[in-house]
Amino acid sequence: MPFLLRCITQARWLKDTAAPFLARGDVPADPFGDLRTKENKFSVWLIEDDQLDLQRVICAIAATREKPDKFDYLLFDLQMLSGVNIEISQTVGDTPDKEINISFHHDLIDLSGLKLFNLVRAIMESDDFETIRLFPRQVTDLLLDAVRSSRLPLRQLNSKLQEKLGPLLAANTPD
Amino acid sequence: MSQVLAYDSSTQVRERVPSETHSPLDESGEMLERMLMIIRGGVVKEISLPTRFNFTAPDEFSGRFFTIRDTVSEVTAAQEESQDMEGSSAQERPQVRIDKEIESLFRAAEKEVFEDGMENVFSEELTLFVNRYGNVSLDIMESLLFSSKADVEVVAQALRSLGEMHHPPSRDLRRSLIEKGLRQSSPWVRDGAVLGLAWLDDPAAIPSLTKAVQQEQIDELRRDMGKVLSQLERTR
Repeated sequence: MPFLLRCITQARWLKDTAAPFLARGDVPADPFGDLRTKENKFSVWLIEDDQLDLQRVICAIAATREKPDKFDYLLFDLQMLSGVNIEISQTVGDTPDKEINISFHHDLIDLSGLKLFNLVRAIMESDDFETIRLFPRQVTDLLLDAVRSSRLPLRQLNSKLQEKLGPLLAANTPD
Repeated sequence: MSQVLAYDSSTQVRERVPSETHSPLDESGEMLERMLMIIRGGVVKEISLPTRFNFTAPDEFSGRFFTIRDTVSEVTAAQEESQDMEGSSAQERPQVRIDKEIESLFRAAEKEVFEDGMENVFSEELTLFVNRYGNVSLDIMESLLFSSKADVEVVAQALRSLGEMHHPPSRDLRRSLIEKGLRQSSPWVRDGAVLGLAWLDDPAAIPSLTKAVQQEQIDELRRDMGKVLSQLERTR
């Protein structure tokens, strides 16, 4: 079953920190800070079982940013959506990687407060729930690889990011 | 050695007093010694209110203007040319109070939305303060960073920024502040410290990070501390 990727702030999803005050079946409030909706929907990226495209998706999202910062995300089963009655709709993403935008970007739609609550609970109660972090150096390496291999032309990256990666690319490019 | 002027901010008097009027053995001289410790990044607490005085200091502090009130957290500095201060009144001169400015910066940051990968005003301003005032600004920040009233997200962001900024003269003190973040009760703050150390990439943090890994109770934080530890080992 495919996964859905959502960028988060890991500190909002630390289960142990909320455990002391949560009633049975309740969820902490902090994760909702990462599920900000607009027109009752928010953006996710579809990642196939084999996760072959995971790094490419991360790279495409990181390319929209101003600096190669840490990248926190979580992956949850697509199947989870049916259990909490949430619809998913394929839409076009907004990154420099056009193929990724068309093939992998989706919105969770028609969201309500109760649906969001149920989704957070389902995610946090799942056996394989974990947040994942790439540190700035890893993100830098991913982006440099993508540019060097021409998967992402440097000029299509965020302009501030270009300024930061430019010297690193030049330093490692043979004359 | 160059001259640094210090003054009593409660009276706003900035008259110069010849440094030779203070013997190293008298009360003011002792105060000057403590003052220099502050300037050099030493930690001094509970300084009693001095009268106005000036003294000599290493050239790197030339042109800085220091204010002492009653505690080290209230040391302020402004980079004013000491020559500018001669012959003009206190009211005519701009007085930069960096302790108040840094406090304001932290308060304003509570309203800022921080987004991974995006620049933010708070971090940019923090970097400017450190570039301009070096360790003095970090001494002031320390009391704000580890106050029980501090906004944990702002503190975490500050620790990240302290690691990310490029300012070699303050590197050791910044590392020390970030390491202190590893020992705070808030997981947000510890997480910010982990990220700060990842940015700083200084193997000198290995001992404190090793200890933090051993003591960390939250799985995700312990895992991330381990990753940064590996990074620092590779850097060493």
